[in-house]
Amino acid sequence: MMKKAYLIPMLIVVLSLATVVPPFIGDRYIHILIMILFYGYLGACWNILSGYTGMLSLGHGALSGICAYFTVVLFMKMGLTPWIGMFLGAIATALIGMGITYLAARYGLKSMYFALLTISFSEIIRLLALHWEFIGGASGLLIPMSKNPMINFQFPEKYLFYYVILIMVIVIVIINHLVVRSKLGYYLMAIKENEDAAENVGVITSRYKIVAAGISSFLTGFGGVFYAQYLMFISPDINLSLDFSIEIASAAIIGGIGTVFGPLVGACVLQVISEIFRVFLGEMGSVHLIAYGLILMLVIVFMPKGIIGIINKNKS
Amino acid sequence: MLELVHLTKIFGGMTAIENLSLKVEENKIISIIGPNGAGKTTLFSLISGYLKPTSGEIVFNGEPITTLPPSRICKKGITRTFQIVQPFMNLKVLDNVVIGALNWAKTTVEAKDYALHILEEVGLMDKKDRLANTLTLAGKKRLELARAVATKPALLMLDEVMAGLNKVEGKHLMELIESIHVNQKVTILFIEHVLNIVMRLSDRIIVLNYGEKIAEGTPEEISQDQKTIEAYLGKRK
Amino acid sequence: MGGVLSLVAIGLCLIFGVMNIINFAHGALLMVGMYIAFFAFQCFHLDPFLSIILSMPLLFLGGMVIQKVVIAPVLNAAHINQLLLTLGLMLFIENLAAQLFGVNDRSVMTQYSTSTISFWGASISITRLTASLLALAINYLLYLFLKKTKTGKAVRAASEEKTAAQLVGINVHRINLIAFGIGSACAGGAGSMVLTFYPVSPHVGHVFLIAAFVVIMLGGGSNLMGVFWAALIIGLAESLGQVLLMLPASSAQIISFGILIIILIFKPAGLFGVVKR
Repeated sequence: MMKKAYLIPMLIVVLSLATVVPPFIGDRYIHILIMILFYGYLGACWNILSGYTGMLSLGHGALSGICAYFTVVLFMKMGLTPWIGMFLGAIATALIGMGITYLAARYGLKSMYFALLTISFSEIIRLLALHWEFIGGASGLLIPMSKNPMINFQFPEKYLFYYVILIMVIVIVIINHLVVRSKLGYYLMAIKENEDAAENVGVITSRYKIVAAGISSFLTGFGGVFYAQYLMFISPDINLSLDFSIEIASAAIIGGIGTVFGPLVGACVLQVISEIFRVFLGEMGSVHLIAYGLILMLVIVFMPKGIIGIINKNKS
Repeated sequence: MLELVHLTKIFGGMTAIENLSLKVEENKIISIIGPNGAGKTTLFSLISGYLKPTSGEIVFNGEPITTLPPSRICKKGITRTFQIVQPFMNLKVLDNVVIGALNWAKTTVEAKDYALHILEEVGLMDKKDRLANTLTLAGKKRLELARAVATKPALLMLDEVMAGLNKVEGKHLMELIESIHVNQKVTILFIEHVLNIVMRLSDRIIVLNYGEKIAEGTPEEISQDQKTIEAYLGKRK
Repeated sequence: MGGVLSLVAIGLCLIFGVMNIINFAHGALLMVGMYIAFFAFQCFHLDPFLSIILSMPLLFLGGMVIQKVVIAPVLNAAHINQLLLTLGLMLFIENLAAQLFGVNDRSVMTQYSTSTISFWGASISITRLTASLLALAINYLLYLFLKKTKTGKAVRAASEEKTAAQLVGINVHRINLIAFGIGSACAGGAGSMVLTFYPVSPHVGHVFLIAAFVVIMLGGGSNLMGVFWAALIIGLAESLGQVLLMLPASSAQIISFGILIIILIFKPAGLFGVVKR
């Protein structure tokens, strides 16, 4: 493990730079920073379920999208501010995540089968949203500018969004840290290693899988709302696509699955590389996903424990 | 403390356990022996909740536990080791045992203290920061035993713990089991092929053949029992 | 639909059976087959059905390259890693296609595209019928290959019992290459045929991939016959569902997903056999 003595001063330096510098670097770079933190945040949420228990979820994009839709629809149809709406949305999202995991736990679906279950969940949600005109159908919903932007989670300046996601990331890192240290963390590690053996020493595997799914989906929901408010737009293709779920998982996997800082490191690498791709190949559409695919393959073949895994190995 | 009532388990068309009734008293060491395929491991899986019986009942301290999952059964005080060792391979030795202790411990600190105490007792203290998969087979068996003991079981079931160990390793492990039995006041139910160990340790022996109990008694009685000898050596004609 | 689906699913299933890997990039390979057929039609006016003579050999080679370069290094890795690897491959191929060909739907128009024939009052599109029959013919050839030839028998042996196959001297590495090649060729061939009645776009593979998953789950893992029948059932269920529930064509997959979830939950071993865990 990394030495505590290095870690804490390093964190302080990084954090103070992250707090002070951004308003002065221009919108383009702020956007990149926001995207790094955003994928780092969602990757860290994903980590709580998939990273620690080994149940590969490819539905986290859809989960975040569900919360985003929930919150935006509450805002547009009933005027409820997203600051409150997102908590309701997150609760709904947590219930859905727990429901799916309950099914998986009840019927013993593990690794690939859990992945297939979450993929089909994700695609069903996307298809439903695509054909449900009430929530905008295929063209999605444009969030109207409100008269009181701050009260409705709308900021005129990008760097304000930056601070929101920075706080969210700090919170998720602390939560991840607490989970790893807690009894739950030990239970989840045991489940990932060997479920039969975990049961044998009194770990009620189904309960803790569902707890992990609940925490993970609840927090994932906030990520979805942030994205919606940042873009001022939601649509099935952006918020509910399978590619989005893969991007979230990739951040955690590339950085180091089941580690506290892995998702952030992974998101950083992915965003920087895809930005380079964009610079050289043009802004068009999904060019960064080519990079994602390549990096994902390279990491899995050459460093299956991710970047953090390599760092830890060299330290010890 | 443990009572099996007319327990039957049928896999497809094959009867693995047939109408088995038996009692395990507190603070005893009881062994189950029998030729390969006699249903010994199936019996353990039934008691520990990994398999559900086709019919019959399992009662522990007066409570039926027949339909409970393994984790709940562990909470009631029964745990086992596996014939093929299953420690948490990619976790540290210490963390393996901590997870066991969390079965009852309120905090991770409490669990860690107890885990260290158990590691001391099984002689793995010097290896506590190693990953479980770096241990030798004998080491893994000790670790699995430590993890099981850390749950503070009332009844510990050991499935062929001696298999694959050499004489010296086997002797050490046997002494360890005896000391755990005495120090932790654990009742032990074990499956074993090495008969001299069975004869030395057991208070009582149960012989299974084709899923049925064919004999039960003290080591002396069993060594004289005609049916047992037949089951092991074949009928003399 | 059922016929073509069976070709897609059998390709996927062959790979799953021999290597125990679920290839998420299979749909992307089908998409590649569709683009090959599309450009063959555009540039050389080659009939999409005839373009299988291009798409199948090309994808066979492509599949072997993928196996050699990408899959072979993780053959003994954890399932989760294999799965992620093929997902990465899928992202890569699909988005490369998006970059090269754009994201718009493209379709081909042949003289017979809109013609139908009547069968007991039900009108069936000629293209779909031809595609199904052609797919069945390829399936049959594949069946003969697996049953009669030495290599085919080796593939089946490796699919059933890898260690034993190795023990009797079958070169498993070579079999993996062949299996991945054939599996990919099936996807490519299916792509050519699909193009006659379905527009191509970079992400079109998802539709068929998920349907193929359902088929494999229903058919029971590596059991090829089971998969074949399951494909026909799912093809029928999707068409019937569209007619009976009046779903738009784009959401016929909801039926597949529904079936997938039900199978996953109640019978993960499939209707016709046992899935390797």
